[in-house]
Amino acid sequence: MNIWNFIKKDWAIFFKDRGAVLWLFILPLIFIIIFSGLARLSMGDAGASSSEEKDDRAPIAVVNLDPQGAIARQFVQDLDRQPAFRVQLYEQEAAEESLRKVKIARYLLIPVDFSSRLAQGQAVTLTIVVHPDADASTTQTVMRLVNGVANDISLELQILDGIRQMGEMQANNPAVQSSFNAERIMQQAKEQFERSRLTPLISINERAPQTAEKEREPLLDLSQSFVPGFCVLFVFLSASTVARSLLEERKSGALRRLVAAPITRAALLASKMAPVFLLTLVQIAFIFLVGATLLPVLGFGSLSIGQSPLAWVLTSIVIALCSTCLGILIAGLVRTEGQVSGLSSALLWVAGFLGGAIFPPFIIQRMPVLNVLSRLVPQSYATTAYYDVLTRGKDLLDIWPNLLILLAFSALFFFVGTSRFKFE
Amino acid sequence: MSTILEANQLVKKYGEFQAVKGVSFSMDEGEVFGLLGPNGAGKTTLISMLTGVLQPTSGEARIGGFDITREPLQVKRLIGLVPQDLALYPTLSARANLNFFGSIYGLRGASLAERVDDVLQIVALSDRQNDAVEKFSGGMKRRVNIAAGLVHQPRLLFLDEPTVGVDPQSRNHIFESVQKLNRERGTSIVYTSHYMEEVELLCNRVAIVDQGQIIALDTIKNLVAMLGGGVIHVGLRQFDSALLVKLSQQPAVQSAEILPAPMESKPDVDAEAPESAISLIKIEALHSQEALVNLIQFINDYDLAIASLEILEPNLESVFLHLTGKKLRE
Repeated sequence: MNIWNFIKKDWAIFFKDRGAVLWLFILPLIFIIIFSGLARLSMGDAGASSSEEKDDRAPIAVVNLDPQGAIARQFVQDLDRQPAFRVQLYEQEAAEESLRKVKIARYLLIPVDFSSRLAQGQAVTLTIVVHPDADASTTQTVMRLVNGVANDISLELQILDGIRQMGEMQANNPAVQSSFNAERIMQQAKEQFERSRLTPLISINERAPQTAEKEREPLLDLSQSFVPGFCVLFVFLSASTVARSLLEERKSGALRRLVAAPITRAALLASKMAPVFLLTLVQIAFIFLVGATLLPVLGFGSLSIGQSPLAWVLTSIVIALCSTCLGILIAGLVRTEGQVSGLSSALLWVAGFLGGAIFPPFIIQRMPVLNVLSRLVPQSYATTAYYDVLTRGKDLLDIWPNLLILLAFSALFFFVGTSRFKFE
Repeated sequence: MSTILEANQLVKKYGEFQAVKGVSFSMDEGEVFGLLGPNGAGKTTLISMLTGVLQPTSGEARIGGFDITREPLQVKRLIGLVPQDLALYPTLSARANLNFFGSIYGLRGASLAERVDDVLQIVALSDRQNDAVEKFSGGMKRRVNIAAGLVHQPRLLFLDEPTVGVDPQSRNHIFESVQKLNRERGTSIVYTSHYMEEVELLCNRVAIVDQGQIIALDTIKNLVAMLGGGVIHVGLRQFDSALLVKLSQQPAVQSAEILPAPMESKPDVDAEAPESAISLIKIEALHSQEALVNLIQFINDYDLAIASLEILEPNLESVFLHLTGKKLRE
């Protein structure tokens, strides 16, 4: 007996069923696009001015507490010349408020004494204030960009300072004029460059907003929120595919024929699970691939798989396994295909909602009753794991408890399902 | 000839209900063995136990020398099952179905293709092999259903009501396939049906099954011989046990008995009135024609009213009626 034969057969049946293909692959994308569009409208992005529309660079919020300082002004201008970002200036209070209301994910704070300290050759620190739920990869990109502009300014100031020092020395002691030849100046510039590289004048610090944790609004990044959420919803909905397939085979008598073949019942169930498990993995990959390529084109922001691709892959595998085992449980509990449909709509949609697959988990977790109920459904741990990996930049070491709980759900579903499933 | 199947006191219970009540029989290699009985007699349950689909509640059976409960995988390698249902994947082609069912028995590559070609030929569907099964007629689907049970060349094939809902032409195709398999390939076959004609045509020996038990098992010739010189069923009004004794003493009548099964009264007659009650009497005759003449005379002599009269033909249907008082398709 070869599981691959079951996979070939079940996939052939699946891909002949247009409705099933639509359900598994197209419907999640339609949901993601519709909900992302609705969320975007409600967040006011659609009302951007015509001048903003012409500049398609991503906005970066900047609070300049040193607006009169020449170096600070130059820094802001240099930052605005970057091809990927455009500067949006905020008052600090407005920036904090926007961050709290999730209108922005982060802002750059230029301190009051930025220009004066740099003019005296003293080190200064820029601060990037980041919302805790902000996309970690975007934050890193912003940090690199700010760092690059700061280094350029730091280098320029240090070289200029070195040359200025040599000029002063020469002016004070004309007898040493001959010692400041071109070679000496070059040497001085090199030393300043090296010093600037090793101990830059401008350093960058990242911190969370000052707003108290309880008051903080969660960040709703469209692609990063809806893609994993609806992916989890539809992956768990595909549990009904396993159940329906088993019931159809039992109804048609094909299962009876398979039981009469030299295959153990455990192997038979595993063979029925394998095609759906793999199909679910394909479904996840498809949703993320289209999410990453299509949604930015539609203006819903970029989608990444976080800082740890391994964590994303393992999360996807565990979620697919849990969904497939849930299918076995459903097949063990119901008698007819009608009951499968009933359970799918009642149980899986409700569980998806509770689990934060439709609205992000942190919204559900704010409501005490729903928060308790959400802990009873695997979707909750699946969405949390995806959010942690995708938007919070967490890795396997951070998310393993969620994966462990999902594996425990899988084992429970499988054993209860197999013990209750009737082959006849 | 070696024994391919041996069942001993097989029992299957569902709670208090006993679907199979201690069935024992054996069959030889190369035999076509019929299980004849009405719907609900327990034939499918019996086959389900023998093919490993159901666990027997008690009893044992061996197929090809292997115990069905202790060595199920060895047993399953020897057998093929053609279930009563169309156990196929309708959206796949006939060939794709056969490829799949062959592959689960370990067939692959050229040997699988060869076996699939072979069984398609046996069921005369080579020309439609690439069409989806859902486009086939009922009879053609039945033939693919049979082919799927044959593709791995089983030594013992279980055919469970393979002609249900089949047109006469396809039924003949199926009969030819079964006969060909048995004659040319030596496949042993257990054939269940509630159609007496099929069993008479195909089987060497027949077990008559009713209410979970084998009530008779023999060759068709011997089973029919149970009817002796013939059996007459007659429904009479105003009949009593004194008349029964006199009827039993008529020439050419071997025995007479009143069957317990109630007869339907005519709607315009009061069923409660003793004078309108109908007794169904079974007469086993030494010679059916002579017994019939004597019966008519007896009825005239005692001024009895005939409600029904049936002379049973010497076939399995009559044997079943004779043994159970019921018709096969009741």
